[in-house]
Amino acid sequence: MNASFIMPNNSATVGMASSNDLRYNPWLHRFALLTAACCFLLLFIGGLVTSHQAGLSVPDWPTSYGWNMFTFPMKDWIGNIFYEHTHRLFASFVGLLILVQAFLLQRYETRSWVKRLGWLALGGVILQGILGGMTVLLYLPPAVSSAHAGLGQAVFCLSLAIAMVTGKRWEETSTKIIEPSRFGVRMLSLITVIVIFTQLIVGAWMRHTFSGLAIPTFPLAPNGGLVPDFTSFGTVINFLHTRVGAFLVTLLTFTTARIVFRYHSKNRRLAVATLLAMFLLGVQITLGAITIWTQKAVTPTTLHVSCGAAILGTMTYIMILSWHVYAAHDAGKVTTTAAIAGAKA
Amino acid sequence: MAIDSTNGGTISGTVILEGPCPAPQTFLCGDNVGCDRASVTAQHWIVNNGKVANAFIYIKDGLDNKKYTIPTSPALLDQRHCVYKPHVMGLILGQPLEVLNSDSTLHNVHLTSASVGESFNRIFPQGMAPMSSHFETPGIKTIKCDVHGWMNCYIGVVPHPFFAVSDSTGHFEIKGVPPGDYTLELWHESTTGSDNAVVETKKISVKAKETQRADFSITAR
Repeated sequence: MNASFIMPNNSATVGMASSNDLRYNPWLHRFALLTAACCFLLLFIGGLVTSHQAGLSVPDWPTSYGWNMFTFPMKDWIGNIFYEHTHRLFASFVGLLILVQAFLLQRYETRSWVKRLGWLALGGVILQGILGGMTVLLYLPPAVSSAHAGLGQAVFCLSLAIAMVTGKRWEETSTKIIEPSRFGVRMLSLITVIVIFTQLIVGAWMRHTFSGLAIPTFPLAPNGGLVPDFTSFGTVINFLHTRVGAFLVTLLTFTTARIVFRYHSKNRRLAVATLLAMFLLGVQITLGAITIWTQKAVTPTTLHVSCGAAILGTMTYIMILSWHVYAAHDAGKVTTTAAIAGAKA
Repeated sequence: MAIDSTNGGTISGTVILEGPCPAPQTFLCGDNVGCDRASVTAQHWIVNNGKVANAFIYIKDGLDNKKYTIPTSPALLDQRHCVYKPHVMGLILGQPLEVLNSDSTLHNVHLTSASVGESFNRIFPQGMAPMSSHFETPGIKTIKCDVHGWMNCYIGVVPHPFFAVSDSTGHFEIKGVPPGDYTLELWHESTTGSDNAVVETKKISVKAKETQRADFSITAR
């Protein structure tokens, strides 16, 4: 019976079967990293489209002013067409990366669940392209535009996950550490990811219903209080995103950080990622305030969108790492009993 | 029914701005060489000596669903130097609208209407033949070019010919109005466009062959 005990931060471990079938492929991992990075860049480019209100500057899809998207003359990439058309082109490039990634995973990856992640990402980016076309042809209905924004974030997180699980360090992590408390970093990070994703959807809905300045002041409302007069649906959406959602994300991020630094400070990757999340949160709140104070100037607004994606990505990393490295607090009791029974036998 | 230019009355007035005029916004045309200009000043508020141009004034109530002759000749809207000419116009419901592109650059013509089925967004490259359209419902319609973010115009579509747009001196005139009691309505865009537009109404009585004065005082927003 394997009864190895590692006591980082006074927690016990649960032994796992060794992963002999894992085979680290550095080029596969690098390709996955490139794909995830390009997904993030695409989110920024997409943010520019909305910030410039360029979403309908190319009325047709999948053609561009009657041209094949890839042969549309550069001399006609004028005004807001530049943002919309480059978004479409770069989205096509990211789609190609994800397609190649899916085939590479199918060919070189040994774990079937990772292969499925690759195909899931491909399905996601194809659906994303369809949503993008639909929202143009339907004149940007908020529901479709927000779904396009949300799915883009989800595909980015999925690409990040693929990059993580194809990494060398993933292969090395084969022994789980029991969480010292029932409500630990695993559950907390999962909840935080869900809340951040919801916040991003609400933010997208706010943007696509032109409610970004429904509460034109920050941090106080125009009436001088913390809560504005709810004179329109836009005010409600804005309040949910700029006050309620921002507060919840801040609270959960700091609570996650507290758990990480109290119980898992020796896990360097987790600690660094948590510090990064806290830093990005500070930047995000600042960018959000500047967005309001500048009445949605393009640069801070678009950076705010991207920073939101970065926070989601960082917390997704923390969540995946936590679930990979740690076991539930209850798992320790079962294993300890079994270990004792095994030792007596 | 045609306009009675012999026995009809005239509604005449001036649109005056009370309070400060919002500062104009200037946009650089940048790489848009087809605009033949370096910059564009937004046309939200054009005010000369306190007189407001581009206010759309029309008879809102009192005509009792009378049917009027619909012109067959189209109302013209031109895209010239990357602005719409005119910036505000009116046309009778059913009258065709013809959009031209006099620029050596492409535009898109994006109509936003409260009637969802009426909205459209069409490509309009340089050199393309005039585009014809017509409206199914009355109301204030917004047309914009998403390529050139500052480009927009407003079209007041009403089921009768009794409307006008105030000129650069703030003056407007509606002729051939049948004698009767009416509600006159003024519409003017805000600095953010059609959202939060200025809307004012006024009761007026029109007598045959007489000119009835109807001035409007509005506040910018």
